[in-house]
Amino acid sequence: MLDCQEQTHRHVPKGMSLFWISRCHAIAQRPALATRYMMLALCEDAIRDNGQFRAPMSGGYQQLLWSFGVSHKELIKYADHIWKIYKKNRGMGLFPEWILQQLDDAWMLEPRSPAESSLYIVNIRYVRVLKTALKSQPGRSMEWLAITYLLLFPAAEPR
Amino acid sequence: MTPEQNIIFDELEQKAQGKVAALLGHLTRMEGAAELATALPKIIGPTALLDTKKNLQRIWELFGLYLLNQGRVHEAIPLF
Repeated sequence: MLDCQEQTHRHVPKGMSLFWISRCHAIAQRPALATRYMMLALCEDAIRDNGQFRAPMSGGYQQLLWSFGVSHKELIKYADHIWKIYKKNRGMGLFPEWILQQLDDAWMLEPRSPAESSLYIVNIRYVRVLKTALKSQPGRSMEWLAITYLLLFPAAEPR
Repeated sequence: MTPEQNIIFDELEQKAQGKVAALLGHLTRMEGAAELATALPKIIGPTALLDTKKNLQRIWELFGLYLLNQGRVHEAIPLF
């Protein structure tokens, strides 16, 4: 899907994959990673719905509400915010990680478990795009890159 | 096989055709997940995934779901 995005420069819905990755992490006792991936799935669902967020059709919404304890009001607010961020920069908006970095951290209600404290998972393609952007927008891109790396560490709050 | 795995496998058998159908054998092999992670992107190209008529995205998802339902979550993650 990321290959397809790179080739076509168009948004490809990745919500399904992110949803199931989150479920895998939840089963493997990695609650913080599971929450993060479910938020990424929510980003994808909000973009898919073009600003008219359909909560009953969003797997990310259902799981964040019922399994991760994020309220309906907050989720609707996030969905609205996600769409606005995506509209501002559709190029970077292809990466839900970029959108998630601009939301607050109130959704992260789960502490990192020992099982995930030594896991450092990063989207290499997103990092590659940020590194390329260092030439045109050095300050901003460096900031995103730093946040991306810092978020990999347990209990890191880069903002 | 659990009932869930049966349902997933039946749907896979129905939908997978040609080269993709030949990959079904990988599901029961020990290194099957790693083999699928390299074989699936070769057979199902990036732009082919957007073809909703062929259901290729669903087929890819079913391969991952089968592993997930076997409790092979660490192997399912790279596939998703």
